[in-house]
Amino acid sequence: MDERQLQKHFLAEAEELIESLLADVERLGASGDVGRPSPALVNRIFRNVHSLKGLSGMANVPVVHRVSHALEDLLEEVRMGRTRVDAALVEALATTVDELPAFVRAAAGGAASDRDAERMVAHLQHIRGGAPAKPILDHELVAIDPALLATLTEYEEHRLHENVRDRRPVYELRVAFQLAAFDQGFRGLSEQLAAAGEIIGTLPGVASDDPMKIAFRILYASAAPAGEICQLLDVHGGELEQLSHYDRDVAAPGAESGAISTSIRVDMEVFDELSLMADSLSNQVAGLGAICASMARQLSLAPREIFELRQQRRAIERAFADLQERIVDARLVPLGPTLIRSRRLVEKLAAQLGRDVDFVAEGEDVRLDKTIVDRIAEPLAHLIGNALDHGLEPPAEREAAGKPARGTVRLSAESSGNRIALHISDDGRGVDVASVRRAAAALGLESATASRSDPLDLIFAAGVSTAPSVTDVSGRGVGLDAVAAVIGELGGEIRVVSETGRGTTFTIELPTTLVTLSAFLVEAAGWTYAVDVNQLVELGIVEDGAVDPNGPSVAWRDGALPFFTLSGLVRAAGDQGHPGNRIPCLIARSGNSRTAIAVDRFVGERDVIVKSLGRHAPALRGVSGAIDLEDSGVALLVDLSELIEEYRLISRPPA
Amino acid sequence: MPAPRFETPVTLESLLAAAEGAYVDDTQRAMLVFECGGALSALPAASVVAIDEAGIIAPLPYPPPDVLGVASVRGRMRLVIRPGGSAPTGRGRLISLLSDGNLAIHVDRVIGVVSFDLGDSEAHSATLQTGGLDVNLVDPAAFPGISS
Repeated sequence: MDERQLQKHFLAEAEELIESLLADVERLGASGDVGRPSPALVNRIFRNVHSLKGLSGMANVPVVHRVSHALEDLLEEVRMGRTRVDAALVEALATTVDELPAFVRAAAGGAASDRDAERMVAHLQHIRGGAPAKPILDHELVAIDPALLATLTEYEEHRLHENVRDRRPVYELRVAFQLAAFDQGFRGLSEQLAAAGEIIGTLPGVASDDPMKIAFRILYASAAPAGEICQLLDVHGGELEQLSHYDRDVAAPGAESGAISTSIRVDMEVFDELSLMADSLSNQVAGLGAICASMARQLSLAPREIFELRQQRRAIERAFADLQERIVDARLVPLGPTLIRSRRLVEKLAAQLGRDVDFVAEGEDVRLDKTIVDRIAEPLAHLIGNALDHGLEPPAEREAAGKPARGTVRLSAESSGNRIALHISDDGRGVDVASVRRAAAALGLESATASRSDPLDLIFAAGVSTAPSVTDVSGRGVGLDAVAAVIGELGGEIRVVSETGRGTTFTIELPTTLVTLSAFLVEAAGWTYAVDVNQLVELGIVEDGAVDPNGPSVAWRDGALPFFTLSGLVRAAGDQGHPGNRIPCLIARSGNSRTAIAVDRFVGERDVIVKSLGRHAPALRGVSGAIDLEDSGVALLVDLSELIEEYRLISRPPA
Repeated sequence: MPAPRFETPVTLESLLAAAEGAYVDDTQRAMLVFECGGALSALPAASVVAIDEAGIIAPLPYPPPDVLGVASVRGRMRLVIRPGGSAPTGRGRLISLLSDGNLAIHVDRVIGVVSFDLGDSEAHSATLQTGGLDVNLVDPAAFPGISS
């Protein structure tokens, strides 16, 4: 494995562990009784941190090793009950874990500093301690054999105390297994016991009645009825003695079982390759269908043979369609972890900016292509930062305006077909349109954006900022244009709605996957082009007389729309303007405005696999990918908004 | 004989460094030689994944310099480059590159694989000599306008 592969492997493994840590630390904070977290949860966090430490050691990333070592030390203290789990500890854990993704990426690339690692370590060390002194076991409550007690490790003793403190019945179980098969028998019993309670400690020894047997004394705590535990032991001829004698016992809790992962990690590139192969095979089957039809005619096959041939071909086509669907589905991941990170970000920024805020997240089950989820993380963080910094007013200002002191930031996701919509809203002061206009005018952007029907769209122009001052969070006028660019690259769209004094909502529409797309195919100047159907409002036929060449514009419904030809927009050789008297037109959406685009012919709507042009894609203006056509040709997937923008730029007379 | 346009000088040494395993033995290097726009050019044979007859190449609205368009080659979309930007004289061939899965070079004719001595003078030269002819070295990573 070379250095690059090792780094890739490290990042993939680390990402998985950190995802799990993020979710578990969130669970730790969300558990009502923070001071007494589930030992299974704490152990799982501890194990994942321990794995991260081992992984970073193996991959020779010392700064990550140092931070994970400090995390592990802190969690060891928690496991042993030497450090109390309180809000401050959860906050420290969450802050560190939140920082880990960026820190690990930087560290893997050699860009993380020792200073960053020291800061994180110091933060974790600061939080250690705070738990009461080690309690003394009350032998009135638990009559435990001192010989058995002496064999317990520090952690096991801590767990015994915790169970006694929770008034959970404690038992000594005695069971023996034949030496030849004790491992299977003991493992089976342990799994059953763990599902109903907690095995605190185990002391093996030779059975007094049979030297060919190995005996176990198991210190066990469980709120399950003693009869149920007896039944588990009866199978192995074991016995039970209750050691605890409380005034009252706890009710039986739901057992927390450790799920065994049945998943494997697969590189996203493998999915890309599989998608392409399935698409290619599907196209080849379609081609084979045409050959079959031709051969059937030439060979004068009987109707039954032709029928069977068609049936077989359709069955193969259906199988490939299913395969494509399953591959696409396998790329999708839930938005839950993204929402958790957003919540942490809101809490952090609220503390930093002095805002009092409720964060509402909805749609954690909405699933999206993994690549898209990764790419939208930064744009979302930017929009959330804006909502807290520019949107929400400080509590005093809100109260003076007759609003509750506590503001709300909402992040919701909903899916509709093969698109999802993300809404990021706040109930703050809203965007000051006049200041947006002034900022745009100061940058000389007013004329370039005069065509925008909504002046709010100007906030997506580079350099426009309405923030009264620059803060650590925002206000440098760098960002919303970059946000819009990322969304655009993903085949999405961003819109904003704002009302003075009531708040602002950004809506991001995205495809659920970058692989398949509902596209409308058209012909122009002899070439086939594909357009994302989400860019289209409707299709229409306009009469030649409805086109005003001076605009150029076309009368449409009760108004007029800017008019272009697709062959002109793509600068096709031999563009003859719009053809014929009845012109097929795409009525396309660009932000909040609409445009009519003449084509030569409508081909129809299709679900297509969009193939990327890899690292060259950013250099190709107006094109977001390409699709294979059945005749071995290629249809470019065109971005109509970008083509119109480019066309306007090159058509503008020189100043 | 027009030379391909490059942003930085390319030498056999730099090309071979970018295409690991392009050696025949300690002193010989295998290069794929092709003709494009009347000029002979070459790139390391080990950097080539496939050579196909050129099919349909969809033109781009705003192509970067030397880019003919987009072609589907063995199930993969490749940006088709024409070294020197000369117009194709016929259907031609597409040389798909191993180092860049989304790039192919459009050439008029593939001559074949030629072994070159790795002498010091050749290693540091932007052209090679074979049969008394100059062969321009082509660096696919340095096409203007598209290199990252």
